[in-house]
Amino acid sequence: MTDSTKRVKGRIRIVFRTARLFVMMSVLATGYAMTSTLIAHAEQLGSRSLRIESSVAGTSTRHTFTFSYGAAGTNVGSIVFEYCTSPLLEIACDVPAGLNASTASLAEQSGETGFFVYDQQPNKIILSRTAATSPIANPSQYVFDGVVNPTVQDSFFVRISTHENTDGTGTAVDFGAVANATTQGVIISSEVPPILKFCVGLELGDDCTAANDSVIDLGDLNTSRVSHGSSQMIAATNAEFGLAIAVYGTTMTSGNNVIPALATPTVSAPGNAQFGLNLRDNSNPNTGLEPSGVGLTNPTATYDTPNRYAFSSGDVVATSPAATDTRKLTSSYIVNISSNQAPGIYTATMTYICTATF
Amino acid sequence: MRKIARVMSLLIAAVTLFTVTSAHAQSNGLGVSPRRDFTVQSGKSVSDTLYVSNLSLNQELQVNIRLVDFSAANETGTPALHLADNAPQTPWSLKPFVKLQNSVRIGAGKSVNIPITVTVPANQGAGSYYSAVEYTAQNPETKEKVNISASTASLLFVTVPGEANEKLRMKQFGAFESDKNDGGSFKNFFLGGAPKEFAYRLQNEGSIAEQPSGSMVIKNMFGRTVKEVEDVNIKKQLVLIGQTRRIQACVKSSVLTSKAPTGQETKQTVCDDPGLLPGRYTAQVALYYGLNGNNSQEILATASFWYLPWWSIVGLGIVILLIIGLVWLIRRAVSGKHRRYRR
Repeated sequence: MTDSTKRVKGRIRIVFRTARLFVMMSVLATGYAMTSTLIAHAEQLGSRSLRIESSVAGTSTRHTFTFSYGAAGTNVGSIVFEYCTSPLLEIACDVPAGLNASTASLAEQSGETGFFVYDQQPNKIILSRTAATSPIANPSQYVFDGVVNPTVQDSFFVRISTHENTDGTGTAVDFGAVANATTQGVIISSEVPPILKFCVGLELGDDCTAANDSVIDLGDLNTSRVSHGSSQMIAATNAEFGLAIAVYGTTMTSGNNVIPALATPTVSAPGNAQFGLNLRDNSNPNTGLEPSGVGLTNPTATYDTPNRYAFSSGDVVATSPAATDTRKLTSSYIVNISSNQAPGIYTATMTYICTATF
Repeated sequence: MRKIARVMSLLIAAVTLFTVTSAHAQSNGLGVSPRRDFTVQSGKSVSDTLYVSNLSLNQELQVNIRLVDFSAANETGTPALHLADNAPQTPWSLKPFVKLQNSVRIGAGKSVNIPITVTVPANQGAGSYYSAVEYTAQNPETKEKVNISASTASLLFVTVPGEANEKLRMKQFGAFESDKNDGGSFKNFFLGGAPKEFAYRLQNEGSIAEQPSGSMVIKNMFGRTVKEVEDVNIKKQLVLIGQTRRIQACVKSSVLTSKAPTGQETKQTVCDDPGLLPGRYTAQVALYYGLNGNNSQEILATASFWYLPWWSIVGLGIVILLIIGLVWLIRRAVSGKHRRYRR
């Protein structure tokens, strides 16, 4: 055998080996894809709902499932109801805390009937019937008594799948999830109820116990220098949604005479009519303090630049994205007047409103 | 004499003269229930109480109470209170259904429970109704000053069960980069770090304030699930009627505890680096919503993004250069052999 023949044979062998490897990999990949999409390719159960007689967390109650079968002409021998914390099949089913369906009973059924409880676990009920037949009655309803709701006040999901086999195994014919949520029942005395704390004052300590003063002295207004003053506020909440503080009020007015508010963050410019505030430590003029305390409440963008002031009634001046411990914010106010500002007694009223977010 | 009189009058009329006086001090500190949710059948009523406390330990608190409507201020969960006396009543207002006293006086350091009754008429259709109870600390009126006052509000949500129009529309879903001021932007190309959070924007076109819940998975370019987010609305945020709401979810999160020098401690959930490898990813989210007993509504959405950190681009460049160099060397060696063979 010549060298060139040997070379050709070697190449052919390599080509064959590569092809064999490719075929094996394709078979494996197809198998993996088929097993992982057993349910993904199922038809959707239509018009699904779950009605809970009492949605109080931890209570034993009636769960009523209603849905329409999707796949026409395919036999159904069993239905699986699986309670999980996620509706997605890609995510392993975690049992909602405290849920127990292991002693639930099938109280009623309508539409496609003939089912009995074949098997049940804390988060799973399998209904079966003696022979698989093609569903024709839509919608169908299955009522379970004695399901213990999750004990945590939260959403939960039930993955419902129908199967041709009578034991809940094999490829799903139809699939669909339903969602519901438990609500708070009787407030336990040891539980801390949500509360929103808020105070304003000229100078506050670390808490709201001395929140009394409500009048800010801005001194004499003058065309050649800025008049300024400050107030403080403290906000805290244990509510998970967080909070927002908005300022409502008017700019400084005296009858029909107005010192215009700064619509956008602007530096103080004596000699120009200006009224504004911010929530930072400023050097021009020297007023204000940085937010302090471990809470999460911080000024919003408009009121968060040192030496730039603005005011618009209804603006949100600070927010916390979640439950927050106490945090002190200092509002600094500046007033400038122009030489043609009409004389008078100028007054402004600022109401800071702190609300929970939703 | 005339001159002196003019100067005096000018001084008196000088633009705004402020002096500090300690007018009858009143407490400016309130503690309230931030939010209350009720489910009331048509034709039924529910009675409860709202908690209000005076946080000042040395002054009384005089509180004015009133019901105000609110809507969403923006795409976050900040309420915009409709405070004007002539503000038109919203379609979802609770004003016609609520009975509430209009003021209360609370002693220093004390608290009260204010009775509230919500009555839903028999012919009222199913849906969500909401308003806010505003509590304003009443302070003495002073002129020549900047007056400040504290006000808080309890958000009241009432659900009237029954067949209702429930419709959320997905407007946007994808990897999200948030900024420190509650904003941010959707992105589908990440050169720095991998995306730490995802966001979706839902428009409520129904008559119920919805609280969607659901999960999300992230798959790599081979279709393998690499990250799972079990709860994509961990804070149970609401989408108000007519609102477009942005809800964000961390791909991976941890709880950060901060401690002040005073010993004060606060916990904050932060989004961590999810530890993705460079490549193209697809995220799938499934959201569910619907009143108890009504059909479970489902929204499915998919978004793709590229994660190509600079080091992966540099690495790829080096590999390409190496391959080119290797090919060049092989070709050179092969052509050298050919030349020798021909000779």
